[in-house]
Parts: sequence; structure tokens; C-alpha cells
Amino acid sequence: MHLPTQLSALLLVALPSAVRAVFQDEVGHIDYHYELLGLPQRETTFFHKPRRDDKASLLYTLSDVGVLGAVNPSSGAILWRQLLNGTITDGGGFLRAGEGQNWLASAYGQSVHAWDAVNGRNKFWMDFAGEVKDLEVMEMTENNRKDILALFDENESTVLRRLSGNDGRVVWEYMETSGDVPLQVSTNVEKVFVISLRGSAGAYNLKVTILDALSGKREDELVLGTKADVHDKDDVILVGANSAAPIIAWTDDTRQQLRVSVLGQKTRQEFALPADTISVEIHAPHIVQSQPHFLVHSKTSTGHTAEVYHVNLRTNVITKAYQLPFTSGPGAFSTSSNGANVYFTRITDEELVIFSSTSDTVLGRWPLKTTESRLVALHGVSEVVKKAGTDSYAVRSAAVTDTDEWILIRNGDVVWSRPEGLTGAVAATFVEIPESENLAKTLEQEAHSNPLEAYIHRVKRHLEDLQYLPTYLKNIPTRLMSSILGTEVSSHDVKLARDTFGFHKLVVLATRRGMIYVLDAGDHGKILASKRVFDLPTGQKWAVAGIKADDSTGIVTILGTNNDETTVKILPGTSFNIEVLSKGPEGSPATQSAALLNTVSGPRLFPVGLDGELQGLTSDILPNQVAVVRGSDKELKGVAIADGKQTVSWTFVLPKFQRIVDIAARPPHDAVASIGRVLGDRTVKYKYLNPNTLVVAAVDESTKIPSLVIYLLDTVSGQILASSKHEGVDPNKHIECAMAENWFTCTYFGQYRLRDGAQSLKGYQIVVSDLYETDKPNDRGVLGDAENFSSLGPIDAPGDVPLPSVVSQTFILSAPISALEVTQTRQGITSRQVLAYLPENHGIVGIPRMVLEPRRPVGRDPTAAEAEEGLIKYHPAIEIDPKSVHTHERDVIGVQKIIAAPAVVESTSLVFAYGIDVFGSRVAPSFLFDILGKGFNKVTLIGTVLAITAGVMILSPMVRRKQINALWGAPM
Amino acid sequence: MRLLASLASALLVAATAATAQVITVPIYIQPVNSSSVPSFLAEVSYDTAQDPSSAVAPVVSAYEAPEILDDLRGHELLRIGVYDKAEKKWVSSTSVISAENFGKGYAPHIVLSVDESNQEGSYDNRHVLGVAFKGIRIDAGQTRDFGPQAVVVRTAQGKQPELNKPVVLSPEGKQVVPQEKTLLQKYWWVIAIVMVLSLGGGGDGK
Repeated sequence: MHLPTQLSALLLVALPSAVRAVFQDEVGHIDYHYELLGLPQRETTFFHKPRRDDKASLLYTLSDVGVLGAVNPSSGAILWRQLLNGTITDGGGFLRAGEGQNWLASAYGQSVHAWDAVNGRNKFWMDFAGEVKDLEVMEMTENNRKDILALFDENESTVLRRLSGNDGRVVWEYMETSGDVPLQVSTNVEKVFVISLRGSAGAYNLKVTILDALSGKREDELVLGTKADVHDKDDVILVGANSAAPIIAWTDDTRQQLRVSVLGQKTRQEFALPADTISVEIHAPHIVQSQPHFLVHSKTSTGHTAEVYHVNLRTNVITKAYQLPFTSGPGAFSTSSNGANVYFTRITDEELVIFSSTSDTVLGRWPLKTTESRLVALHGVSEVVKKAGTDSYAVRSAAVTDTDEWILIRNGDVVWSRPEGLTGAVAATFVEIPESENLAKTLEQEAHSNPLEAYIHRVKRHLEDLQYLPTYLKNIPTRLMSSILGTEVSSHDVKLARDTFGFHKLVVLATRRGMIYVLDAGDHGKILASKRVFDLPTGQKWAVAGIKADDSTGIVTILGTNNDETTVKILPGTSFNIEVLSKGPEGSPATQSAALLNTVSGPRLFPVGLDGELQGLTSDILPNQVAVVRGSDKELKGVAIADGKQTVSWTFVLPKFQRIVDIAARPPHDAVASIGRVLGDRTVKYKYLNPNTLVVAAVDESTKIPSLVIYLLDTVSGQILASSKHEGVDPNKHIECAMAENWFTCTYFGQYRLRDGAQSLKGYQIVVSDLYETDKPNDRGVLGDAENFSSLGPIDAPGDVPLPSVVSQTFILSAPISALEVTQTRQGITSRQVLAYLPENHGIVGIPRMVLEPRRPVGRDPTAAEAEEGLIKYHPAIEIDPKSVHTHERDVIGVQKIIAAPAVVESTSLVFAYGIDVFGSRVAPSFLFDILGKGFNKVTLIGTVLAITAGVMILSPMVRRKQINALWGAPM
Repeated sequence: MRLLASLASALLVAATAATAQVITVPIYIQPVNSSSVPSFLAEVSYDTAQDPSSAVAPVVSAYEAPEILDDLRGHELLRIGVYDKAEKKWVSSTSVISAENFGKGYAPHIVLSVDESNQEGSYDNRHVLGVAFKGIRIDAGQTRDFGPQAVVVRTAQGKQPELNKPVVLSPEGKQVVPQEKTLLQKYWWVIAIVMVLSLGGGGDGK
């Protein structure tokens, strides 16, 4: 290959070591990463032995964000992860394992896959036309191989495929075009059952189609029940599989009766459920050898109970064996089978109890020892082991709690807990640790009282402060030692406070499940607090329209799209605490976004309705503000706000067949150190620094090959300042823009022939555009001498209409990027980096602005003057250099958004990424020029100083003596 | 009737699509804070030449200084855009200007943002994305036309990467190296000069 060698050689020149993202000794020191799976789903979580002869089993799960992974049950460490859909999902999917097999089968959407259970490598991946409705592993087949049964819904017809467990090849296929709703698939030793719903919504009948496992031929079809007694498909609770007598169970829609039928039988049995049952779960073993027993777990609003039933294999009659006592409060059950023995584990908020399926004798009982006040397990899986030679048992249960944690309880002790609730994050913001308000208040008080009183007050205050002196003095040696040795001061006993470098900030994170987390960015992202804000009904997600932090008060406001508003107040004090006030979601989504408007008491968020109307406007809003909103026809509107009233001032209507794909604005903190760029020949190009600009990326689908149109708007007047059109852009791939200072950048996937017709290209691209006041250096155009400027008013100097001069350049990227963000520093002196997530490499890259430079000389080496300016020769491709990846070797998956915030030191920008994983780091695009690095050897420095001091102390008396002797020595 | 007219105009467009065409759009203004009917401001003609450099400069073919100026107290905001009088709607993006732009001593400049590759639009306006307006101080020292000016800002062609020269391969898959010119091909003119000199120089005429 010609290109790579040429490329790498070029890159060596182009990217000096200045762009290195992370040094080895900074790994784990400046960055932190929560490697997460997501909340395990009830049906797709289990213990499984990855090797047949191994005793140890692993914990496998397919989570509600679409991550399939294996966890070591003894430590809670992740062994491997796979992101099934390539991006975050809304739950669903299937995961099964064959007993004694070293692979797992999973399905999501239209594909069925198998994975090596030990290392998570893909065994096969099959894509089909329909959507997978159920997945099952056949435990017994004719050729001693375990196969996969996958049930599909393909355009209203039911398709069942038996896939070979070795390579995913289709062994046989059964198709039915009856229009029934396919529900589940089940199997016993020789038959395969397809369960579907016949009838219309609200009045279904259960239909069981019996197929021959060997050939897939239909043998029989049964319709259970005489009348339409299934109201909804959620009423079907369980279709057991791979049991000696698989059952199907369903309830009526009022949860009064449980109807159970053994698959293959036409009869059904009815059992009354306890009064006031609101939901029912059934737990049954999934192994053929296990006894056909099952447990019915009924929940009421106050507590829960369970009944155990046995199936008679000969007569297929189901009998109730025993009932467990009703317990108030929440509880979770799980099944574990060991050969023929079946055990049920019950986790209540106080204890962990195990039973055998045969009798209600308690085999083991452990009180829960948790650090938290109350543990509420929602669902779990468990593994019961009988200790050899004794009658005692050991149990470990992995349970999902109501605080979105995944915990493992071993014999009553919580061994580990994973903060899986951090996944599915929808909004986050940095917020400063609020300074203690007391000092500010006292100082103010002193300023307002008479001098004598103020003096007395002050002396008193200082005397009071003396009580902190011993602790301060006590801490000095440790602080000194840690400063010399470079170790970190443990922050456990130290009050949370801002540091001089400004690294110590908090991150407030909101997740779609309605949880709020407060993380300490200065202490490896430690979770300081978490709180459930809303109890959202199943299927509903918390969508956030806007999040805003007030650094002076420590208040974070979160506006949701569903008429909800949440305030998180970080309380100053010795122990960290937050106060959350929320107005619950109600009604249907009515908010498209949130507008940040300046009011008398500081900036505040206001919800923007779906039609683009701002809501809840108050009279304290400062005048002369324009909010940009989306109208009902997807146009953009400028809304001028005055005296609590709003008027649509301008509208930006896209041509027909164009639609907006992304909008970017300059970040709220966008410090600009210099208004111009000094060129190599000492002339200056002045930056176009209009703070009221917006980049709109739209896809034009009027032509056969869509194109991307990028508009630059003035948000005050609505004027289109510039626009450009890129032909041959794939609108289905990620298109995103970012803006900062006087430039903006957009990334897209393009495939086209160059305009000169010579070559064609295809790939992910990034276009960067610089805005200058005029084309010519040393010329500020018509506005050059103006003191101020209005987008609306006339221009008081003769000349041309002032429009920005746009200089653009496009580069080809070696990997797709998403979640663009520009680093922010306090003064804007430091050069910038475009931070982006690499969805295919699972990392976060920082592309230096020096590389994304439209003025790089094309086709020639830079002249001496250009080199002085820092320009490097243009090369069409930007390779994602591993040195510029801030996540280095960490596997960060599913990042949806990256946020950046300035630190106090100019060199550094704080970065936080969220989505599935949570990652945070500090980025110094121009190096840490204002901080001593870890490499600075303080020991040597102090050692040298001490040695010189010692030397001087020893030598100076000797020298003095010699001098005195010389003076007294009489000349001979 | 309207359909017929638009059909006719569509035919006209089809007939003249390949060549340059002068398009005239009506520009209207309307106070932002009132719901009154937009009033006519100007008519701008621009040339849709394929090559913008050869296009004829846009002209303001009609201009009516707004009457509403009399009762403006200098601060009222106006909305400006391409307006379809028959359909009674704006057919382009609108922008906002202050009425001061129409004040004395300012030459009106109408800025049209135009994308000529756009094939779809309403009314006669297929290309004009948006309209802006600026009053620019008249330079008293210059004896120029103080009348309304029109500026057309065209959608730029998006920058494409500047690729390196492709590697040319021969049918055998080898890289083709352009053949070096022989010494004779390169320096024939030296030989020619030497020959001319030696032939034309002659002897010393003895």
C-alpha cells in the first residue's frame, strides 16, 4: 500500500508530540471511567458456567441499554462487553444459554448472534428480514448439538427458524401466514411449540402450534380456552421452555385469576390470585432435568406473597404445593436449580431466605447487612449451592435495586454493587462547589456596621477561627509530604471545597430512568449522591429539554419535555448533601427545548412549547433578547422578548425538501484571547466574532443524491450570513456541527466525484470554516472604526455590506466521529481541540485545531512565514492518531454527548462524556504550561537545596578561619 | 388560472433552464409589531448565470421608500423578505431590520441570499433563501449613485478535499513512470543554436 506509508511519514511531520493526549503517568490520575452494562433485564440475566467442567459460573446479562456482558460474580468486574446495536437501545432483546455450552445466543432487532461465553468473541451473526420475537436454545437435539430457535414476525407472518448452534445456518424454517401475533417459542424434549395470539386486540385467544423438532413440520394446532380470555399480550406471564413439562401461564386483565396450561395440552387450570394483586411473575427452572415446579409471585400495593405449584408429569395436572407467608414491603424471587433440585430465593428488604421447591422448610436465612438504610430488590437471579457433606446451603444473588444499582448479595452480605444507573444518561452539566455563604455574609455585615463594632466582630471571628488551627497544623505535614511525593491527599475527611487549579468541580447527571447523580470530577468521578427524582411508569423516559447550572449558588435546574422541572441544590457544609425539588411529569410531552434568558436575577431556563412559543415568561426578563425556536413547520424562528411578551421577529424557512439535521451555537463560555490572527508577514486577519451566530446543517433531498447545506445565521436579525452546499452526502449517517470562537466545523459522510471530475471519493469527512471580517489582512472592513455594532441598524461608514469572509477546508477522516465538542479554557489563550466520540473505536479523540486549519497550504510545503504561523502542509486525510485519543486504551462505549468546562488554570479544560459509559478527564491542548507536572522531581530539588545548605554550613566556618589566619599570619 | 400561470412559468423555466435568466423578485416589508399587510419595498432582478463571474450585476428595478417611515419613531423593527402578494405569504426567509436603515444619509442595500441549485420553491422564488437590508452611510466625497443597491450572496460550493494525484497503473498493474526525455529532446535548441552559429558565423572572410 502506497498511502499509509506516505501518510504516516507525513503525520510524523504534521503531528509533533505536542498533540499527545494522555501521558502514561496520568492514566487513572486525571481521568476516570465507569465501565457499565446498563440495568440488567429480568429475562436476560442469569448465572451460567462458561466451561462444562468448571465449577465457577459467570453472571451474564443483556441490559436495558443493549449491552451484552459477562461479570465475575465474586468481584463484580466486567470480563467482556458487546454493544449489540452499535448504539444505546430502549431495552428488549433476548439472551439464552444452553446448559453446559460454552456459548451464548442473543438476538436483537433483526439479528441473531452467538458469543463465546469465556471471552465474548462473536461466534456468528445472522441478519434476517423479520423482527425477532423470541429466542430459545434447544437442549436436546438428534445430533447432540444444541440449536437455536428464533421466532420472527415478518410482515404479519410468523416465521420460526431453527439455527445450527455451530454456525447459525438455518436447519429448517416454519412459516405461517395466519395473521396471528407471534408471541413466544418453547420446546420440550421432542416438540417445539409456537405460541401466538389469535383474534383482535382486547380479545385474544392463545394458539399453540406444535411442530416436530426434527423436521419443523406442523403436527397439531391448539387453541386454548373457549372464549377470548387474553386481553393484552402483557397478560401472558410466562411460557416456560426446556422443562420436562413447559407451561404457559396468563392472567385476566384484572389480575384475579391465574390460568395455567401445560404446553401440548388443550386443558387449562385456573387458580385464584391473592386479593388486590397488581402484578404477577412466575419463576420456573430452565433445565430439563429439574423437577417441573414453579413459583407464582404476586405483588400487591402493600406487600407480596408466593405460591409454589407442582406439575404431575404423568397426568399433566397442576397442584398447589405450598404458600409462602405474605410479607409487607417489596420483595424479589429467583430460581436456581441443581440437577433435579429446584431452589427458590426470596429477597425482602430485611432478609434473604432460600426454600426448596418441594416443601416450605426454610433451608437458609440471612439478615441483609447493607450500608444503605433500606435495600429494595426489584428482581434478581441467584445460585444456590449445597455445601458438601453438610445440610447447610450457600447462596449468592445478583439483584437490581430501586436505586438502579446492581448488587450481589452472598449469604446476606453485599459483596459488590455496580452503579448501572449511570447508563442512559440524558443530560449533564458541570457545576462549581458552592462556596460557604457564611463568610460572604459576615463580610457584608461587617462592611455595613460602624468601624468599632466591625472591628470587635472581626476579632471575635478570628478567635473563633482559631479552633480550626490545630487541624490545619496537623494536616500540614501530610500535605507537605503528599506534595513532595506526589501522592494524593485523601479527601474523605476533608470538606468538599474548590481547589486553586479549578479541577474540583461537580457533575450533575440526569438519566432517562429519572435518577440524578452528583459526581466529583476532582476525585475520580466519585458518586457523591444519587437520588430518584421521578418514579416513571414503565416505557416512559425522562427527556431533558435543558439543563443549567448556577455556579454561585450551586443550583442546577433541569427542564424536562413533559412539563416537569427539577432543581438540584448542592448544599454547602461539611458533609455533602443535595436537595432535590421536582415537579413531576404530567400530560403529554409539550416542550421542544428550553431557552436560556437573562432575567434581573440572572439567567434562567424557560420552556419552549412544541409550536415554538415560550412559556412561563415573567416580567423580570431583561429586554432585547432573542430566542431561537423551531416552529411547527420545522422552520426556525427568532422570538423577541420584551416585557414578558414575545413576538416572532424573523423566520428562517428552508427550501422545500430540505430539513434541519443539526444546529450548533457558540458555547456560553467562549473566551477569545485575541481578536485577530497575526500572519507570518506581520499583517493581521481580524476574526469575525459575532456572538449571535448559529450554524444550521440541513440535508437537501430534492436531488437523487442528497446534499448537505450549511447555513450561518445571525440570530438577532435572522440574516443568512453565509451558506455552502456539499453534494453527495449520506443523510442517514451522522451529521453534526460544532462552533467556537470564529470558526465552525461539521462532519458528514460523503460519496461523490470531485468537481474537477478526475477522482471520486467516499468516506467520513470534516469541513472546517474560519470567519474573518474581510478577505484582506489588516482590513477590518466597513465596521473597522465602529465602536459598536447592531445587526439591525444601519452602518455609519461608507462601504460594502458587512458579511463575514469564509475560508473553508475539508478533510477525510479515518473513522466516523460523533458528539462534537470544542474544549473550553478560561481565557481562550490555549489552542483548542475538537473533541469527538469514535463510535467504532470506542474512544474519545481530540483533534487539534492546528490540524483542522483551513489555511494550511495545499500542494506545497509551507513557506518560512507560514511555518512561523504554525501552518503545516495540507494533507487530505486526518488519521485518528492513537496518541490523540484521550481515552487511550479504555473501551468507552455508547457516548452520546461530551461536555467541556474551563478550569481555573488556563491550560486545562475539564471533559465529561456520558451515554452508556461515563468518562471524564482533563485536557490540555497546549500542554500543562502553568502547572508542574508529575515528572517534576521535588525530592531532587529539595535534596539539592539541602545539600547546598549543608555544604555552605560546613564550608563557611572553614573559610572564615582560613581568612582570619591569613590576616593574623605576620608577613615574614 | 393560477395553475395555468404557474404551468406557464414552469414551462418557461424549463425552456430557459440551461441558459442564463434574469429573475425578478418582489421585496416587501412589514412592521414586526403589527399585523398589517406587508408593503412593497423594491423589486430586485438578478442573473442566474451558471458562472457567477459572468453574471450581470443585480439591479433594483423598482424601489419605493416606505411610507410608514413618517410614523416610525426610529426604533420600530421591520420584517423584510420576498412576499407573494397573491398568495399573501412570505416565500423566503425573513430578517429583521430597524427603521433607522431608511433614514437620511443612508444608501439602501438589499442583500439576497441565493442558492441557484435549488429546483423547488414557491411562486417565482426558487432561489432566494432570505433577504436582508442595510442602510450604509453615503460617502459625501464620492459622486456615485446613491440609489438603492442590490447584493447577491450565492451559496458557496462546499469545499471538497484536495486529493493527491492518483497513482497511474499500467495494464500490468505496475506503476507508470513518465518517460524521461532524452538528451536530444531536452537540449535540441542548444544544438540548433550551435548549428546556426557555426553555419551563419562563417569564416573571417579571408
